[in-house]
Amino acid sequence: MLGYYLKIAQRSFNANRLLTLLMIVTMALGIGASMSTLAVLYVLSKDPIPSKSSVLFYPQLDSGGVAGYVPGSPPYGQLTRYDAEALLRHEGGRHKAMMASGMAAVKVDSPSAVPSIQEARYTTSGFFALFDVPFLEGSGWGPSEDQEHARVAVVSRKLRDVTFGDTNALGKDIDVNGTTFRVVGVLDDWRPLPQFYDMYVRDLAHQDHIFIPFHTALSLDLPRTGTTHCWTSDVDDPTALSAPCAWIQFWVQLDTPAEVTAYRAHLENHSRVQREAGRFARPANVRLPDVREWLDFNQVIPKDVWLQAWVAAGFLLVCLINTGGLLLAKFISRGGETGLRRALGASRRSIFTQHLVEASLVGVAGSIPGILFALLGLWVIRQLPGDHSQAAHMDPFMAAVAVACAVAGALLAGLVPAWRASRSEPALQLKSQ
Amino acid sequence: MSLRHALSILWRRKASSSIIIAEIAISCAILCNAAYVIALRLERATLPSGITEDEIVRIQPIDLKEPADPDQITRADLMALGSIPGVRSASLSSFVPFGQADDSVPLRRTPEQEGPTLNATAFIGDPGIGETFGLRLIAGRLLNESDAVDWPHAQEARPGPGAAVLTRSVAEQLFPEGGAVGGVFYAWGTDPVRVVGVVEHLKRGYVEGDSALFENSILLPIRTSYSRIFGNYILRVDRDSRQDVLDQASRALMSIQSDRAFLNVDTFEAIRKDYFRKDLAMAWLLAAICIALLTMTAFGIFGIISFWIQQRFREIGILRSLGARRIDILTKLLLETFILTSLGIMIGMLLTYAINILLMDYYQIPRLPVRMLPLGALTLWLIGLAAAAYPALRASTISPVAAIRLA
Repeated sequence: MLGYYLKIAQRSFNANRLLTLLMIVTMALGIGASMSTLAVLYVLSKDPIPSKSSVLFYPQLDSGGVAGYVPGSPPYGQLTRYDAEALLRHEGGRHKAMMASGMAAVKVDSPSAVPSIQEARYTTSGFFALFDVPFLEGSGWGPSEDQEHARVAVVSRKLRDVTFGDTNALGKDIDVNGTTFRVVGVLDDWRPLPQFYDMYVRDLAHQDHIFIPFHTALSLDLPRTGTTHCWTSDVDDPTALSAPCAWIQFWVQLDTPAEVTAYRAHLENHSRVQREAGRFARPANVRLPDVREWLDFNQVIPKDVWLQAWVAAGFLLVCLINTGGLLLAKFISRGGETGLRRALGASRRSIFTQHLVEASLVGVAGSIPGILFALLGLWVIRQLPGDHSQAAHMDPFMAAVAVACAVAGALLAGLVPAWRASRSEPALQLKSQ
Repeated sequence: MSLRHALSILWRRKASSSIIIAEIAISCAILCNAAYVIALRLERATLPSGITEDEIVRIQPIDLKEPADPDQITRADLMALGSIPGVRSASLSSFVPFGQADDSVPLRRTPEQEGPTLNATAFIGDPGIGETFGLRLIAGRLLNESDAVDWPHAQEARPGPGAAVLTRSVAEQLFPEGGAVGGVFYAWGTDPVRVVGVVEHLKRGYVEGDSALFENSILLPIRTSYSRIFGNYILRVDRDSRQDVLDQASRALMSIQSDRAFLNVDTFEAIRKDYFRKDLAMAWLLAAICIALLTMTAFGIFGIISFWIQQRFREIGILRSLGARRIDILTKLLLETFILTSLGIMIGMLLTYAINILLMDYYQIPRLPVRMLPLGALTLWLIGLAAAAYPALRASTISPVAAIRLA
């Protein structure tokens, strides 16, 4: 039966080439627009580190002052230096790191070299194990280098190529803001998307190119970037150990639920102690989100992306209605043929089914140009400015979704026309010829 | 008579009529809301900064090596920048409107006050910033040399500024009873700050969220080094020499201190464009979708009306042979289209407001102004009539004889 229906559909397409083409193009445009915006949404909602996102946690303490306190609101998302150092000393968690963002002028250690300004991450040694960062050469540094304020650095592959050319850089010296550092590691391509470990940088799409031990950076007063939140106004040095300023991110790996519970208890205990000592003015308000919860809290998917997706969905709807109209026109103008089939004994249901099959074929035919239009749409989106645009790509999963949407949409569009076609009286249809 | 007749014809063709109505209704809802969002984004992108935008350029140096005497270098920098031909005025400023760097200084009316009256961006720099930015004064005077306090590199603690210029917005918040000029407020610590003047507008480095906070800016005359405040050298230049001046400025600054690079070297025009790039991109995208939507709707109506004419070939021929003129057939078809688009627009208006309410909730955009609706309605009426015009014209040329022959 299906083969017969397909044959009828094919005949009908050939007889009405222009109309069929119009239908396919309409479907393809709708699919193209909605799939490209959907792809951006999909990429942004992907887990940036699926192998570990459920064991990486971001402690939050409400260390702020009395002014501006709103009971019930979530704590600020960064820690003070005092609290971060305290958490670093606490033995809970397999890996942990405290970090902040900065900016460094990096060049080869020679006076005539021209420096490039790079996004820097000042972090303790645990960073690399925490996030399973892949290395091309060497490795990260260890806790002893943290303590010694050693002048070592890990650079990205891109920075290595810019500074040294495409050769091994392990053990070589680089000049960072006038101080000589030794390269101990070169990272392989590593770009978690969305960037999740520091929500306080200006541009979430940025990449860190040089990693320097946290305390080394502080001791050399290297420039900091990101957001510093101080709750008294008389602060001379926000990086001081006792400064009432939150500017540090802290991540810890907790492998079992028991560890998570224990860590949370430790955070609450720390809060209590600080409050008793007079450092915390606010009541205990600790949070311990994992990667996904932290991303949700920060609303990583910009509202604009949602708006675009919805508008594209609206456009798809109009395209489907249009396709429905064209299908209706096609089916009704073939009323004579339908009437003949009915007179020969075809049931209403088989007429309905056959027309639906024809509609779904339009969907299948429209899905290929639809995917092409989506690829074009994604290319356009990548040219547009925006933090997330660079991530917009189509993968096989999205392509399969596109085909499924095209067929489902065409079926939906064809429901009313197919029903209408099956309802006509055969006698009337034959007579009006 | 013809209206009832048209309605009964449309009722006979429920399926295709409802397709046109649905298409128009949804297009109306999307169009009106998209047009409104475009208008809002463009309004954002054209927010007045308060400065004379087409005459301002900015150059922001960063040290590659800590200099021995940053204050002396700052003085040398400003001197060199001021003497570049075409530069009318040069000042150091901690921030630039829309510069994507900002701070938040709590301001209080009394020193004992528990929480701040408001938080503002403090534009710290030499007293000439007001003139260099070209701010519009509405009360008092701009800062001058006698107001300035020094914050030398060796001094860790920040000095109390002593004098300040406020924006109108800050003046109204700090001194709601009026009389801001001459009034006193507190910023850091317990040293009073005297207000010497009020300017109309000055936007902060970031303008997001509550628009009432966009102009929480104050000018503080604290003479310090560029390195301490990540400062921007602001130059007021002739419109046409902006790029030349920037080139000369980078060279001049490099010759004073070679161990430096530049974080930013741009005209204010570029700063504004960079800040609002997402809003402009959104506006473009929505505009593209609107045009695609209108085209799609027009083609849809064109297709269905053409199909009808095909189906009603004999009917039209009979009408002509009964005495209908060409113009009557044309009017009849256009009337039917008009009825359908009107029905679609009516439903579309309701749908528009429903979607607007959703957007208000989720995107915090204000309610759609009523004036959008007539514009949307007019556009769709025109689209409908334009799309139906060609098929209707073709239909009016059907001769009475041709219809009878086919019988």
